[in-house]
Amino acid sequence: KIHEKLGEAVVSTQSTGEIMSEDWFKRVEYTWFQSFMIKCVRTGRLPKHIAFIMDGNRRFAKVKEITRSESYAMGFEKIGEILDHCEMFDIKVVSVYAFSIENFKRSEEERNELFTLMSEKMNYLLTKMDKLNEKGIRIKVSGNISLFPAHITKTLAQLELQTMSNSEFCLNLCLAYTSRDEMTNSVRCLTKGVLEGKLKVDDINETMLDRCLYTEDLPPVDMLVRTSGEVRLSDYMMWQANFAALQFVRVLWPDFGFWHFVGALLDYQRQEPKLREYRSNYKPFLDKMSQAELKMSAHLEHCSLTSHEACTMNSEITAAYTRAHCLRSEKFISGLKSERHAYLESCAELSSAGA
Amino acid sequence: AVVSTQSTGHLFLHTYCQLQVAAQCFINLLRWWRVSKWNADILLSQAKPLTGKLPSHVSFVFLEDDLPVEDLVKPIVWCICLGVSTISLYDYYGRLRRKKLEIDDELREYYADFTRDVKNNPKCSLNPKIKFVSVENGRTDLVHAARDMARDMLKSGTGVGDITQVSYNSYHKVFGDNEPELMIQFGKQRTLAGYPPWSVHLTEILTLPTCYLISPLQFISTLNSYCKIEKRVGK
Repeated sequence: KIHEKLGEAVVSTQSTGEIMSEDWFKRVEYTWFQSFMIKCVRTGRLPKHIAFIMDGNRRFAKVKEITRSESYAMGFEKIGEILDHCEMFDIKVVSVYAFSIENFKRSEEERNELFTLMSEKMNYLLTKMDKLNEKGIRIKVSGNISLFPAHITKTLAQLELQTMSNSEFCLNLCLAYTSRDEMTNSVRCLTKGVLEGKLKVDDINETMLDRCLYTEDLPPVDMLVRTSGEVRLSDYMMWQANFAALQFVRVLWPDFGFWHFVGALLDYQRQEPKLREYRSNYKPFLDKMSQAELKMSAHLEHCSLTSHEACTMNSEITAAYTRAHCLRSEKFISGLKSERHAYLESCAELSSAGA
Repeated sequence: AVVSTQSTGHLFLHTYCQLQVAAQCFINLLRWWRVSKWNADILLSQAKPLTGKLPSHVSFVFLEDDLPVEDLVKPIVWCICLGVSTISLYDYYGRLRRKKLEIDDELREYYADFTRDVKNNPKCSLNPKIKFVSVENGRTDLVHAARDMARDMLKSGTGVGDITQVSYNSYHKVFGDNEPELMIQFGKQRTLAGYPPWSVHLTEILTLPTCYLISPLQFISTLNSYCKIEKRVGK
């Protein structure tokens, strides 16, 4: 089917749900007016990281009278299209909410449809590793992937490992993900570090919580887009998008086009000065609180180790405590990264029969 | 030409937003004649179709630079009259918390005026839970909860396997189990602006351009939008 709108690029869509060939990587041809708009929008500030809640696939299937599988397949193609748009706007990181932990509550039939599609698409991406590496696309998977069937977990781990060194662009697939699960997992990691003696309780701070999330090394979310008109976050990236512009767009995900994307970017640019004000005010607040907490912790530790009369604070004691805190934190984070890497490697070697 | 087109585009967007706010204030002024005689009875009769669907916790997020106390207490009183048991007020800088006394006084005054001559209103009692929240209660609350949990686990010797969302949730002090079901944002932006992230996982986020000259009709319309939303939770 060919879909044409006023001023919109010609985008070919499929009604059969088959994978489009290599065109998942470059699919959109822009009209002169679109190219002009891209240049206009690029003169302003743009988000570095956009998060998408790809909502509306099932409703799209009902409206277009196609099967759910076909609709989900079109939703996957839409991700490719969005990556093209992001490349034009030089947006480096995109996160997509592909499968929530809550989605495991769906019917077995629907779950199996989704797992089949996921397996198909992820294996397709594995076969296109040369293209992914050529374009410098890193595929990151955020979520509790052990909840998936073993063959899917294996494919996801392989994808992440084989594209790990790419740095031009990052596609963050949130699979078996909820924000609360992510934050709880981060707290679990830190608490484990405390119980094992690698960290002190007061080493737990916002920075450490942030670095233990699945999105550890990604920039904060600048804009969060949810399609289909729903106006809630549905447990998605609540920590990372705490200062992001929220865009609730009344269009179903497979219909989300170039002009919707441009509209969201323009609205982001309108809000950006205020958002920047919030962020820039937050950092000094956080630093001040962090310094006060470190000073207090240094004082408490010093007093517990010395007599009451010798319990006086000076800046050297605080500086020494701060250095020790930083060393402990860096060592812990480095250990955590190694653990996670080892976990991915063990998942990538799983047999498909199940582990 | 490209830069000037983009600047013009932003000027149009900015002007559109300003016009939207101005239009809303104008509409509220026009409606003032109609709603100036409203009291709690009329509000309840207008909100009758929404009975049973209203949230128990409404959170008002103020993103505007100006915070006119005489306007922002109105939706609070309307919520009280509709039986909302918990109301939270969020602004990034915590200015509302510093104006607590002034808000309390204005609240009592407007409540007395709005519920004057009210005959049938058992719900209208000025004793709701009103929480003042700012960015200091945001991510910081999660950090403190994590530390408290770690300290307790060190003392009790339990393992990390006992850390679940439920157990972690019990350490949160801002809202506890009483999370907002509806968030109404006043302002031209749409952002959490540092709002406690743990508590908004299923919160419906609606916006109004301004709280200045807010009318009860506008408020009922917003509640109506909330009641029409299908809350699916992943299914």
